[in-house]
Amino acid sequence: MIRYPPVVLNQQEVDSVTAVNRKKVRPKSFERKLERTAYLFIMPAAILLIIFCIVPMLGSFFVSTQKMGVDLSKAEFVGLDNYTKALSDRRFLQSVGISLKYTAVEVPLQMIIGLILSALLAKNTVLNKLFRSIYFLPVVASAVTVGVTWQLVLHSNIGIFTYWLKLLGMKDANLLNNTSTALYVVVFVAIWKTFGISAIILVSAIQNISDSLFEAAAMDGAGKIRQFFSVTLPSIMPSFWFLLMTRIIGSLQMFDIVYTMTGGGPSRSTTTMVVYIYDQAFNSMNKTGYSTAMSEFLFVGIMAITIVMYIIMDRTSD
Amino acid sequence: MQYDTAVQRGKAPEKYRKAPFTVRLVRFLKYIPVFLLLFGFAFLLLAPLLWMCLGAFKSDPEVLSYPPKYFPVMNHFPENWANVLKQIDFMGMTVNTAIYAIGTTIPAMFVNALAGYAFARFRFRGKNVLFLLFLATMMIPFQVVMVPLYLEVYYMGWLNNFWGLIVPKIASAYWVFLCRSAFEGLPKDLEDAARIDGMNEFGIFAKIMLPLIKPTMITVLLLSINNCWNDLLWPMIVASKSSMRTLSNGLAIFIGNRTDNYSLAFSSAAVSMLPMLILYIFGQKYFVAGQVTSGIKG
Repeated sequence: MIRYPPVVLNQQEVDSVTAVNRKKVRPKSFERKLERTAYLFIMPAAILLIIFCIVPMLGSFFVSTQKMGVDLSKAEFVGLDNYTKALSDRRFLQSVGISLKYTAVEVPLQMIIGLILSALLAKNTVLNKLFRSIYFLPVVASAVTVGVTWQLVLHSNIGIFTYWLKLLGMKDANLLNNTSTALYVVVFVAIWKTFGISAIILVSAIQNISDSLFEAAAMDGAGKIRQFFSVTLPSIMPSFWFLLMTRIIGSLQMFDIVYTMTGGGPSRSTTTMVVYIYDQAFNSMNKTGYSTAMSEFLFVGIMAITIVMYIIMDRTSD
Repeated sequence: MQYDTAVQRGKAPEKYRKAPFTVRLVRFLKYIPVFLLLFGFAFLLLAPLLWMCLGAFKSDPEVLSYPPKYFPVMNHFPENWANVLKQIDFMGMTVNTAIYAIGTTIPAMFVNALAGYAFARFRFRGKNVLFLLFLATMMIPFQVVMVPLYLEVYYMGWLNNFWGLIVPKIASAYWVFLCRSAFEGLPKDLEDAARIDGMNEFGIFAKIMLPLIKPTMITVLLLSINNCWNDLLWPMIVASKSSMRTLSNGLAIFIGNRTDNYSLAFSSAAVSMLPMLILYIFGQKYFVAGQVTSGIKG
């Protein structure tokens, strides 16, 4: 056996041999060049986002302290008046109430329907695939199409659903023109349009669960329903929380279906927050400053929900 | 997935053997209520859409008849359609919508993929801060920036033209994330090999890496076109002039709430949905992929 003399290396040589710190080994100019390229690549998107997202966001705080019309020519600084005005505006508070009521009804129903359907549709059979693609269909339809369709379907004279409801014994089936039912119709149509997304997101979460978990549960004698509650449900929790968060945020921002189906009526019973905000800014009085102040409340609410949900998600994921 | 004793004794697993007739019968019977539930949902979903499409072929007296007729007796679509064209500038609105959708989508694919590529493949100072900044823009509700954005567009002189409609909608953090996660999955050797061959960085991006994430790019393409096609709020704000109206915007105004011009409502709603329906039929898996990625990755 040959014996080598001991080799003594200084730190620099050790580094270069083991390449612990590759940054030092690689030529500096090359790193610099890559860094410059990266900035160059990000620049177009970053500039557009800064101009059309971040600046308007910061600008909104300025606009919300102004009393102004559609441009800045007659703008007048009023401090926090718009905010205090909003808090005493009965119609604004009513619209907040309607938005909250809408969210409180829509989100749980949507989640339950999504969960049940995803459990039933998780297997990739031909029939299940067909059902999934049908359920997903309204997602590509515009809110205007959906709004018009449902308006006609529920029309008091010509609507096919109205006719069916009358056959089922509802004498005065005029759901869209009734202040006590119109909001629930909007909830129904919103769920009708989006339950496909919810179901499919949960289906793909279920399909990502390893089969061995189900096999182990089956070995232990768990039936299908027990498996759903003990294996499926805990495994899809991250997707579930995320979906819940996006649904809540989306519901609070409800605009287009309401706008095209009821226009906020009858007698303001479906005027959600965003419909009211839009109306104040661009339809009735052009009170853009005031409407922006109201939208800041929405922003704070959404921020709070996002943060709370992220904390919950963080806790459940580990 | 029940393991019987035969499986435990080492015979072929259950799923590779045909179950006995009685087992299959029981399975079939158990599936009936499930099928009925799924079918009920499918019916509830398709019935209004089908009824609307049939309505496009009916004459006004047929639409108004009581009890309602399900199927049109004769094809009245041509006259309904002529009526639509007489009353609203449907073709002009379609052209506007197409320009808005394509004009936004093509630059969006390029700009956002480029940023996503940089976030996925390069190390640079300030990466995390920039990334957080991008993330933050996704959380801003559109209603908050609506008025300031309108003012910006107004002072740029872009009100009621395509610049104002398109440019603010190009960059989207959501597409950046979608592209970033796709680029992250590609092997490092590819770009190193190209670099050694002397290719410049943009060439590596455009000629080597971008073609490799084609499915993601198709997803971005279809979802972005669909988003623009169905977008209501932004066109309503910046494109209020009648010659600039898009389909959503224009139809919302003409047949929005409380319509009594039924043939107009039926036919224009049915026809305006057609392009997206075709897109969905051919690109269903991409639509689904786009929604699902957002749901899982967060």
